[in-house]
Amino acid sequence: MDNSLTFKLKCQMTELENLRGKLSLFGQRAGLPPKAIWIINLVLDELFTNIVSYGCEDRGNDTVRFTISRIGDDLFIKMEDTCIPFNPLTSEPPDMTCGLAERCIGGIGLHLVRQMMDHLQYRRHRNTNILEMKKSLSDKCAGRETEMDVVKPDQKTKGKKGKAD
Amino acid sequence: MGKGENMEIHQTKQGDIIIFQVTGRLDSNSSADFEEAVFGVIRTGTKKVIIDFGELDYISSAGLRIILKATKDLKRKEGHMVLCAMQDYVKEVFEISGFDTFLPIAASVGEGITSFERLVSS
Repeated sequence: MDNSLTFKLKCQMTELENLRGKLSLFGQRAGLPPKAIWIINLVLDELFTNIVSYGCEDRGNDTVRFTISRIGDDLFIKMEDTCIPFNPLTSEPPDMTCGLAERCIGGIGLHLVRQMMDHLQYRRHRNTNILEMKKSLSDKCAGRETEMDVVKPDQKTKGKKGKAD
Repeated sequence: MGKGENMEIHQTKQGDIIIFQVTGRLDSNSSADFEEAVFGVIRTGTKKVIIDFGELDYISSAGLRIILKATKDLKRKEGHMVLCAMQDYVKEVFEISGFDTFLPIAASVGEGITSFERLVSS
């Protein structure tokens, strides 16, 4: 099936380009709208960058495993790494009310992740961080009023676009 | 000017305004080039900076970090930065981050240039 993809990336920033390529290819095969590809790229970029920057102890050997599946109009994503234990769901949300002078960048990346995904669940199993996420393709995206144009796999082969059910 | 694998920065000068046109992807790999370019002109005393994001396809929090840092630095020096011509997805990142509440965002470079008059007089 083209609607599922599993791959591993080394804990190195240069792998961001690989991530983009894998997601772009998966998106085309699974008939994802460009906006959905863009969103999952940003979400996985933020989470991966966080692991590379703060979580991994051996950048030469540590890897992050990604599993992405499209089931109907839902995207399911799982990230697994054996880096230091870190639950991204417990990080402090940024203060969105303060002015420029007091504004900090810390926490913005994970804030974007929480805002853009519909469901996130973290667990530590043995020595592995496991983060599972869900994104509905027919959902209103990140508070915007317009639905994403959803191209279903069967429609994609005919080169037609259609709205989600 | 600066050129990463996935991002290009072109710098032009219009009067006392420096305009950066950023093309491609602004992420953890390319943010250092962007930081070097922007802070390079701030260090030499430029107080009016326009970032033209019309050809920017992608931005992550690594890019937001540089924008925030540069905006704060310019403000301390009584300067201003205006972001222009963002594509919808990029603009949404600024909105979700709340950055649109304190950063001037103009629809076009032309509007950005005009807005300096208001910013400087306010």
